[in-house]
Amino acid sequence: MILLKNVSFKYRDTAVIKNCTIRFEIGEMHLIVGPTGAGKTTLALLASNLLKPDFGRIVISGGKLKETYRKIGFLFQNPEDLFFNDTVYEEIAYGAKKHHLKHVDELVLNTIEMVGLNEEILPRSPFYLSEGEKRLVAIASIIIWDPSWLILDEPFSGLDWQARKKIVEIILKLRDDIGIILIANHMDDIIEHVNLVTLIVNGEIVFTNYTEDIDWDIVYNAGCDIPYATSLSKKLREKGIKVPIEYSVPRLIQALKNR
Amino acid sequence: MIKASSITIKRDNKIVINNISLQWHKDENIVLLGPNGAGKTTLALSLSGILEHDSGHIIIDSKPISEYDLSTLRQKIGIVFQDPETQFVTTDVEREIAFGLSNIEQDRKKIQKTVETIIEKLDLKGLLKRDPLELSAGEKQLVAIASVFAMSPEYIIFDEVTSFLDRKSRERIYKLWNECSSSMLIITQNFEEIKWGDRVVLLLDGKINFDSEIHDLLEKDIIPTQKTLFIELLKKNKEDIRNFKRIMETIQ
Repeated sequence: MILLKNVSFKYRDTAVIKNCTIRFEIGEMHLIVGPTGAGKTTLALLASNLLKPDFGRIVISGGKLKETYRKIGFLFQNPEDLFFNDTVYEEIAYGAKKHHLKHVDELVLNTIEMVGLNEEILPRSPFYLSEGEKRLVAIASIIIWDPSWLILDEPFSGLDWQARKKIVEIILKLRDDIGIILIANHMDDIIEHVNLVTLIVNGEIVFTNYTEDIDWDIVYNAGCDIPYATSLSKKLREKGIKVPIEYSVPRLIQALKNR
Repeated sequence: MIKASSITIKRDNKIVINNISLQWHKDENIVLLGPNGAGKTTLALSLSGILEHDSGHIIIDSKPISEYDLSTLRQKIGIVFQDPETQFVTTDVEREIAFGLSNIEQDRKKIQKTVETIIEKLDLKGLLKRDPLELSAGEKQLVAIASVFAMSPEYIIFDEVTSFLDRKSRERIYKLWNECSSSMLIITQNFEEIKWGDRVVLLLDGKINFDSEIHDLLEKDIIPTQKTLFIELLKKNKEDIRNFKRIMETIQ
């Protein structure tokens, strides 16, 4: 469990997180949504113990807070900007070496297989890969050391739908054993697999709720995107077609079939 | 009008843009779609005169692009990049927005007025004294867009600039630009943004796969964006096509 209790945080004079309480669990995929500048990334940085709160308490269960770097993998926005090794192999192996893991070669091979990359990519420069491959390498360099938590800050940004689909597949392979905290403006790729959604506006948590119980109007009115299936079901209702307001396309198709 | 004729661009001996011809009329918004690596950014860089092409011609308002001096060219065509950090040169948001303008405009009062209008319209008041590099990814994108807006170029290219922006900010930007009666070329992976275009161009492997007026492409049906999505999916993914067909069949 990661618990943030009455947490506040300022960058210089700007209050970015205001008295937020939120709880994340292993085995759950928790999506954080909110308008631009609402504090989503800051909240994730606090949850991963990369930032210290000005007020409030952070509890990460199982061990000491200072050991959290062993547990929490953080995929930053545009993670490929952080590449610094000459080869894909070194880029991926770095995380394993930093965590003093053994049998690094074997780990690298297993990890690239897990993210769906080919062995042939290992000697190449990470800087000259396709955008999709770069993102997969960035993810591989984190999951190689087997974190209990994965924080993904806009993992789909700038990628075409095929690359996004690959990332969803990786997330689904991992999801049962770890806790996933996800920040995504466009949530269509992943929403059907999300357990909980938190809306944050202007540094304050508006709600945390199960995906099937969310009032998407509140999310929309906060200026955020809503799932495509939700806006589609609304349009269908306006046209007189009676369907429930669904959040995923497969669920909407099912509902239309059952009509 | 910006007219590109038979443009070819090579990078590391690889053809990235393959014999593309494109006409971009004044007051016309184009949405440029395509998978990663299709050549969208390369095309944008070449249309804005930042990257030279290996063969072909680009003519902006009946004058070859190579004959423009830089400051005139930037008033003709502006570009906002995917990664706005590379664009920042000052240490606070207000100066950042004024920077480009102060290079071409001498009258300080005029500059101030333009900057104030943009700040108000894009709702950036709260960020004025902040360092652009300290902002969130979405706020950085907003500031980069504002500083290009300040130059009020006749044509503007947005290269996936809304990837970190919320729905409201995206709409505010495109609406503001439409009001300025300027011409946009929007590169995006978000099919919803098609609604801002008059025309959709799909780029695949450095070639134009299709180029179509929106009203030819889409019926004024329930789900216009899904139709275009469908066209792209058609080439790649059978499962999604079945999903789409099922929805369409159920609706009809």
